[in-house]
Amino acid sequence: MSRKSERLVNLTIALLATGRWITKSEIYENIEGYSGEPDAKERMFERDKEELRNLGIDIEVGTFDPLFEDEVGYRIRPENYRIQISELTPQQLALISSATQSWRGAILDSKASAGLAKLKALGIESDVDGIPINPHQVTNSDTNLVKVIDALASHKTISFDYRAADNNDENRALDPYGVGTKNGFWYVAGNDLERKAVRLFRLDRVVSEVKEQGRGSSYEIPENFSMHEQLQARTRKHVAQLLVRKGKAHQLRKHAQIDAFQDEWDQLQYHYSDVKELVREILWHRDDVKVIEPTEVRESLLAALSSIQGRHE
Amino acid sequence: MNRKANPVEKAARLLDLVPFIYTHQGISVSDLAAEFSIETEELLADLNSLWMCGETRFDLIELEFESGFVYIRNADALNVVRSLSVQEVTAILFGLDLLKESIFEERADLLLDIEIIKGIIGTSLQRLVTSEPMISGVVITAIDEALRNRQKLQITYHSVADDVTSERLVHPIERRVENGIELLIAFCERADAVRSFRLDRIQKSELVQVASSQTNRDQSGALESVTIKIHGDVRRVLETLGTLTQGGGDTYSIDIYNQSWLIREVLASGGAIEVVKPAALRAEIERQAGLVAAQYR
Repeated sequence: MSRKSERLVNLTIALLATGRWITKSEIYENIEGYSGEPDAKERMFERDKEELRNLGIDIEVGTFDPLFEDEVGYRIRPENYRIQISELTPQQLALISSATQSWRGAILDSKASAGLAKLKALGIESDVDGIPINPHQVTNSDTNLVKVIDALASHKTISFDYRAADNNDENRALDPYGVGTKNGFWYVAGNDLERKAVRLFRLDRVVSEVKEQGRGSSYEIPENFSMHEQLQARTRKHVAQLLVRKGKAHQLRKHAQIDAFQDEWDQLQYHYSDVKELVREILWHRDDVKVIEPTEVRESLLAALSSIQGRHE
Repeated sequence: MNRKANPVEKAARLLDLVPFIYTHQGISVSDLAAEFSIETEELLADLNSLWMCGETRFDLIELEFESGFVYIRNADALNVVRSLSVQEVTAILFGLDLLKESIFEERADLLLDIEIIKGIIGTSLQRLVTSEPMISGVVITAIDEALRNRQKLQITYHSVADDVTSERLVHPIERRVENGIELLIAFCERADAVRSFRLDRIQKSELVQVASSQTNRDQSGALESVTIKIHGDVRRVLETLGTLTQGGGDTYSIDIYNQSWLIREVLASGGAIEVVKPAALRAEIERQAGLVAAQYR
C-alpha cells in the first residue's frame, strides 16, 4: 500500500477544505506521513507540493500578516481546483467517450479514460446509441509522445537525439510548442534552441529518450503558433508543365490541373515547392511523366538519370 | 497498458474516484474498475487507501464496498470534479479529430458537436495539437462492418508499385498492423488468393450485400534477395526501403516481392541507391533510366 498517495490526498483535502491559509506546522501536525527531522519533513512537503502542481492542482502561497512574512500559509482555492465544464449534452459526452476509445491499448489510454471519468463524474448521462461510429484506433505506443506532451503542459525545454538526413544522430534541444499527427507520423514542433527557429521533428526519428531540462514555465508559446499550419505541406508556389500518360501517375494528379490532352498524354500544370522533390516524384513514375518546363527541372532530372546510369553500367 | 500507477498517478486517481462514486452511488466494483481502465484488484487497493484519508485522522472518508457495490459518504471536501489536465485534454482532442474522419456527411450535427466540445474543453490547447489521420474513417467503418457480418467488400485500391487503381471484390479476413502500417487481409477474387491491402491505399470501400464465404489460403509470392549500396540521402533511403540487412562493407541486402517497386525507388533516389546484385536487375535499371532519358533527346 502506498503511503505517499494517501499523504497527497490528505494534503489536498486539508488545503481544499480550509477556508483560510494553513501553515506548514499545522500540516505536519495534522497530516499523517510527515515524519523525521525538520529538514526531512521540509523536503517531503516541497516535493509533495511540486507533485500536486504537476497534476494541475494550483497551491497558493500567502501570508497571514503583511508585517510578519516568515509565517507563510497555503491553500487550494476550490474555484481553481474545480472543472469549469457543466453543460455537456448526452450526445456530446458520447462523442467524447468514442474519442477516448480510439486510444484503447495505445500510449494515452489511461489519460483519455481519466479525462472521461471526470466528465462522467459530473453526472451527465451518455447517449452512446445515438452515434454509430467506429473510432479510428491510434496505434502509437511511443513513450516519448507522453514525455513531449508533459513537457508541453509544463512549458519545459526538452532534449533528445535525432536522426539527421545523413543518418547520423545529433542532439537537439527544443522548447515544445505543439504536437500532432499526419499521414501516420507523429510530430513535435517547437523552438530549436541551437538553430533559433521553429522546427518540426518526426517522433519516430527521435532515437533516444526525450529528457526534460530545467524547471517549468521557462518559455512562452507565440500567440500565432498553430500546429495545424506547421503540419501543412510547404506551399507549392512553383509551377511545372508536365506530360503524364493517361491513366497513370495518380499521386501527381492530386496537385495538378489538366490543361490539355494529346493522344496518350495529359498535359498537367503541377504545383511544387522544391526542385529536388519534384525530380524525385517524376523519376518515380519512370517514363509515364515528361517535363516540358522549367528548364531547371529538366536539367536536374537529366543529371540524376546520368548518375543512375553511371552507377549501373 | 496494464502498468501499475506510481504513487502520484494513484493519488490523482483517488481524487477522481471520490466525485465519480458520489454521482454513481452503488456502482459495482467491476464497473468502477472498468471506468478507470484498471484491474479490480488495483481498484480495491485504491478504495482501501481512500478509506484511510480524511480531513483529520478522526474524521475519515466513509466507504462501503464489501458487498461488491461501492457507496461513499463524508467526503464533501473532495466531492469536486477536478479540472482536466493538459494530457487528458490532449488525448481527447486527438481522439475527436480522428472521430471527425469517421463521421458520414449526413451526421453534420455530430461534426458541429465536436467543434462545440473542442471549444468547451480545449480552448487554449486547440492550436497546439492536431491530428489528420491517413486513413479515411469512412473506409474503415465499411471494412469493420464487413468483418463483423462476414460480408463481401468492393474496394478501389491504388497499387502503388504498378501505379494503377483497380476495383476488387474481396472477402475480408482481418485487420492487422505490421511495422506501423495498417493492413486489411482479405481473399481477393481477382487474384484468387489471399492478399494484404494497405488501408491508406484503399480509396473507396463499399459493402456488397452477399455473405462472404471466407477462405483461408496462405499468402504466396516469391521473395528475391537484392544487394544494394547507399551513396547519399541515407536516412531517406533507409526509411523508404524498410528492413535492410547490413552486408559486407557498405552493402545492404533487401528481400523484395516486387521488382517494379524497387526499380521505381532506385530511379527516384536519383543515384543515391545502387543495385549491386542481381546483374539482371542492375541492367534493367540502366535500361529504364535510358528510356526515361531518351524522352528528352
